[in-house]
Amino acid sequence: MVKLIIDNISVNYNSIQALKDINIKLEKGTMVSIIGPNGSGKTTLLRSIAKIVKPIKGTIYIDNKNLNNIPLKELAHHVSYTSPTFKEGFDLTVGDIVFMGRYPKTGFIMKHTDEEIVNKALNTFHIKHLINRKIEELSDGERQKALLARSLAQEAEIILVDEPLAHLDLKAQLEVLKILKNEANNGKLVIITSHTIDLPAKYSDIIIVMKKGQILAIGKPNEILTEQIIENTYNIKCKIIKNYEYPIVMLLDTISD
Amino acid sequence: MNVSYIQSKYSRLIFSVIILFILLIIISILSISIGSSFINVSIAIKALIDPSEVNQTIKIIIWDIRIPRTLSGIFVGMLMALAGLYMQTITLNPLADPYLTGMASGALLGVSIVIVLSPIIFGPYIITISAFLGAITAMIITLTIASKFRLDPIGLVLGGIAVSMIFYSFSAILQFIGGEKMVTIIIWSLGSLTTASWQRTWFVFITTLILLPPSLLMYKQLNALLLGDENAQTTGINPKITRLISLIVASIATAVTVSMFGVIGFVGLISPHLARLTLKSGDHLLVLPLTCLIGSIIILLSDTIARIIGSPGEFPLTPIMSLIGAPLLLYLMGRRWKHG
Repeated sequence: MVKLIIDNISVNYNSIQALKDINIKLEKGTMVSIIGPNGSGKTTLLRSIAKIVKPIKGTIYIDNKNLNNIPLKELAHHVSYTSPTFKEGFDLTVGDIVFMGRYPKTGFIMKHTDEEIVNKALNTFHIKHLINRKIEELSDGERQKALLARSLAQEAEIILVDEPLAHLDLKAQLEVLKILKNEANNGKLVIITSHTIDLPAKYSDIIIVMKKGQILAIGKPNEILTEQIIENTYNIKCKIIKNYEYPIVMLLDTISD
Repeated sequence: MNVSYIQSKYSRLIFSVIILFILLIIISILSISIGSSFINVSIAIKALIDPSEVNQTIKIIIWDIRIPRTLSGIFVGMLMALAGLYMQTITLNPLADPYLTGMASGALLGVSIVIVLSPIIFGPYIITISAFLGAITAMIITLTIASKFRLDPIGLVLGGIAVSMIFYSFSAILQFIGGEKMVTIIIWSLGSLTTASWQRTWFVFITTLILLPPSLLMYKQLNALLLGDENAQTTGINPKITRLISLIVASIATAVTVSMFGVIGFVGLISPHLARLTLKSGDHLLVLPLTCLIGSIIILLSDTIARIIGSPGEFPLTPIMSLIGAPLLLYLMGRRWKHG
């Protein structure tokens, strides 16, 4: 059963082409990582799916429905998007933020059922004890977990996360990916972007390798992560160890352009 | 830890609103008693409850002068605090104030034109109308500039600064030409409730009544803006439309206030901070009503102080508020940095 179809889309920012002729089909119950160097179009691809940027050509379908015809309010029931930005100085608490995940589904006042779902999301990330803390007082990892808990509380079938691993220490990186992978195992379609390769290689069902707005490779980590493709994508020399459950990428050196 | 988060939040809101409301009533009664002639608090209360019990002079002072002034103060405080909260939220800048879109300078130019260029003395309502037109004109120009930047926080601030500079320059030139009429403009630009009357009270009351309830209904949209436009949008909220509505509401609140009582500054800047500090939360469902109540209290207190220390005349409002408020703001900001 196909969940998300990206049919030949291109995206321009002013005159710069950010995405070029992208075609992807993804099913639910999949954990997907988009990797590639800066400016390769990873984030733009996520934003297109979240209807934040509009393609100049091509169409995106969610459950066979054209994204252009889905109003924002309805889209929020199907797609959640998290970018790691936040603004200091407004005293938002972890609770304030995670309850925002319930906005598409509730009226003026939050109900008891909303609180149950919020608590579940907080417990998933082990941050229930932080509910009354202001986000500006938290560590980067705790803050990221609060934003992601909001995304879970939204109960959308497609979970998009831009750079979930940025600024996280190693343990938090593992925790976050385990939780997202678990969501995928429970039938969600999870798509993240990442600057690192090793952890996405471990946890993803599908890896999308991007460069200059195009897809260089898409498939299972074991099949597509080759020394050749990493060299082409990042201009770096590497060695890939394959006799393990997932490919281990050892970075060796840069290649001059 | 079994206490429901929502319940504790809502009860915190109700508790703070009740406390502040009682405080507001006490200050209102004080503000009615105090002025160029001091009226005993018990007599003032008697005059409020049963005006036929007190002598005619006191009745006139209280019902025709003091009460409209106090009520005006309450609603002006609410409007300016609300406008300040809106501006801070939609520009994601905790130091934004209601005049950020150039409305103070626009209104000032409107007033300067009338005072300086007219050889005849106009009635006070001509000043009100031209101040209103000036404020709205400045706001529309800022909005047009900001929409070129897709109506984002940076566009609003850039547009507002540019418009303010241009309008202030025109006002300065006019004041230079105007010579001794400059004093009138300066007094107006410092804000005062002296011009309060029943008519004006009704006007600010109705404005508050129209603007406040819809603002509260918009609390989710305002909260979502604080997470940035991209995150906001995927909770089903259109950040551009929210920002536009907020801007219009803040503009009407500011334009009405500034045209009737001059440039009343500071209250819009500080009230939202005090509200967030009291509530230990940034949720607009809680912050918005509290911000308005705090705005009323600040205006009434400052106005009362302005009348006491200026006696037998009175001091302008904004300098009094800033004198008390600026150290308070520094203290609040300092606390935040230390926590940072």
